[in-house]
Amino acid sequence: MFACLYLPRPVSSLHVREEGRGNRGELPHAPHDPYAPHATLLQIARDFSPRVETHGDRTVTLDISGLGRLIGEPRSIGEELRRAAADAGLGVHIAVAASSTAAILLAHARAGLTVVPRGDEASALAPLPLRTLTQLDFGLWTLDSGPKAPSPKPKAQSLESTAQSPEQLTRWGLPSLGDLAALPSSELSARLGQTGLRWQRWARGEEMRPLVPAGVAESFEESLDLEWPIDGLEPLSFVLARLFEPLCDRLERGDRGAVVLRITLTLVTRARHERVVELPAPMRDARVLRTLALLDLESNPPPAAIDRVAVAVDVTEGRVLQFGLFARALPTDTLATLLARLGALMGSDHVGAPSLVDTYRPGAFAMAKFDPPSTFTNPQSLIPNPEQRPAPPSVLRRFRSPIPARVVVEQGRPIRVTTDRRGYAGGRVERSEGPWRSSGDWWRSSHATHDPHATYATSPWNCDEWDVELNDGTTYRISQAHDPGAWFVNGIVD
Amino acid sequence: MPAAAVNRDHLEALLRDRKLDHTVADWGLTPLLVRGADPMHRGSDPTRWLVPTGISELDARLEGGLPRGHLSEVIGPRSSGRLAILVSALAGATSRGEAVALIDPLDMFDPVSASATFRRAHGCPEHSRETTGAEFQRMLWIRGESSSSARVSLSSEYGTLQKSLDRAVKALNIVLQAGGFGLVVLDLGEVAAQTIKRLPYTTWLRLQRVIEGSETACVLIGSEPIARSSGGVTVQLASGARLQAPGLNARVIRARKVESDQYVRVPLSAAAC
Repeated sequence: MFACLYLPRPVSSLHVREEGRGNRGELPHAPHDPYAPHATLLQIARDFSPRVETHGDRTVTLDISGLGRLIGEPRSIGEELRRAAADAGLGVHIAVAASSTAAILLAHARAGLTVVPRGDEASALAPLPLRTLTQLDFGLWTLDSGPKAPSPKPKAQSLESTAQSPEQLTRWGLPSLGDLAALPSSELSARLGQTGLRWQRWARGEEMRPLVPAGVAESFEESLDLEWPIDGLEPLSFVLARLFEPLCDRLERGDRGAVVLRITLTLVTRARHERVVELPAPMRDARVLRTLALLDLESNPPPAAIDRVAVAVDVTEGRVLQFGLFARALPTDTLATLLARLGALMGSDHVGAPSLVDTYRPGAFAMAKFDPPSTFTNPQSLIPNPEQRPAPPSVLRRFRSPIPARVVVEQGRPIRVTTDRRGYAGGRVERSEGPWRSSGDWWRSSHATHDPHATYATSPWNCDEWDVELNDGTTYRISQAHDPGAWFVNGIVD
Repeated sequence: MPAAAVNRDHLEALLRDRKLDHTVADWGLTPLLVRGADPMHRGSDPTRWLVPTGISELDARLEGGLPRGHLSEVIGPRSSGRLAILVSALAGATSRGEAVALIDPLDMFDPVSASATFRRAHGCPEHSRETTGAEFQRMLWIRGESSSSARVSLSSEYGTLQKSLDRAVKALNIVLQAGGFGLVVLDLGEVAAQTIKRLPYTTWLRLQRVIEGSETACVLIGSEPIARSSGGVTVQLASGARLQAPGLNARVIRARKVESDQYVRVPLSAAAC
């Protein structure tokens, strides 16, 4: 058995204002909220049955099979539905029938409660005017979603195109659904094709397709009011574990993964401490989420003791990962926790993958997000074959802040390098290579404000670089800035 | 089956259960273990349990590369090629699809000069300045606080260095515990030896315990011997004329003995940075 709840549209806004709040056709919601009627109607239906299907924003069908043992006869179920709707301030049309098609048509055509005994659907629909099929604003046309019928013959197709609406049948002398239902199907098909047969099945109240339950728009939130305020992260970790475990169970059941984690702490000062943690991948592991939340709160601790803890997650579909047999892949959950831990320890801008920037500026680089791809690796490449590779070049250790140096130059080449920096005394130059001259960013202002978070400066540069090997075996990379002529030790070749 | 073979199999099974089989590499059982081990456990290819440095002469000395599941070290004076070896190993590991990590307490790693090695390992033109973005994709770089040239107070400098070192060791511990990395390098090449010695020695024992049995090779770079697990290796480098003849002088030390007193000369390409 099916029940249909239909909320008729108000006649006009003026009429609604006269009738006031809670009257028939208007909802106790803000008039500008287009989703409020649908949400209220849906909630009433869900209170009675988990199998609920929506048609547009004012019609809801629900499967009431089995409710008889709980509530009673179909009429009692209908009465209960009407009472629930009235409590919510809705004046709805309710129809109960053995097919959802009949319930929908009757709910749209008749006010109040209509209950049709099983098998009487066609007779109950018979007196309804044929325009009932056209008055439906929710798209009853989409009810028949079964496999498409074979292409009609050209003759039937041409006839079908002549009747685009059931209302045209009225002009053919068919005023009611009963008249349409009584027509011989073969004759109707010959004249109107599959469309005519579909209208006739609606008019007879036949079921067109099974009910398709609408998904539940579940909100993934958990909160806990604390009996005593807590101060510090250690007791908070237990509270978070208690909140995340049921939340992750619900995520698991719904095959959803959290992509954004929202933590709201209500403090004893009545202030709210809110944190938003964006997760690198959908995840639903309670321990991982708790760790990430705690690491974020370690970096941004609440200023006072906590009275209430609430966590909510923005969800997306669960993810499916395929790893290779040979590649060692970091699980995304582990990686997210690792990066969060390292970020809390070293600073988030000090953890990542190095990347090069399109400039010749010495020492320029950028930090990118560390996100190694989990691609399949050819197992043959795991077998090392260093014979095929030439020897690697030397690598530089670079001082982010170059060390000022005193350089003695003879015949245009440095012959001695000394610094005041402890551990980098310098010495006599045994060999030198250079200079390598580079310049750039001359179009920028030399007094531009330097961003302390930038990995390299953006001011103009113009310098000569040398590699000098000192008598103690150390090879320095030194440079001389052209403008002031000062020398610096930029790094050590190692 | 001879009794000795039965006993050996029993011993190997016990060691495998405790994940200690690779710690007996210096007992001369390694070939037997590799040959007779469960293919799912160790594999028939012993090179799978090693991380090659990508330098053929050095890999020959290392019998394939740096051992996984062990703490190894590369030591030597400045400009002896310590970083070049490890960058080559890091680049080789990333080219095989492994994730690697570099913990850089003093923030001295230079991606531009290292990119040539990475490009070479990935089969890209070495001197091309076009970045594909793939070179460092699998490399996690953990940067400490850079040393400031304006620092004058020795006491504060020592305090800052010690704090940077402590954080770097904690970061190393976190990375090793997370697992999934093929090679993890802690660069202490410019950290003063006395600063390293202030760390409790249990630090290194704890780290050895963390990576024991894992597929991660952990390598320390320093100027003096720091720590090495029983199955790990020490690559000792001597200073050489880098500009006159690019290359390095290396020897390998295992299990309290020097395999050869002679340094082997390993050629390097001219500095490409």
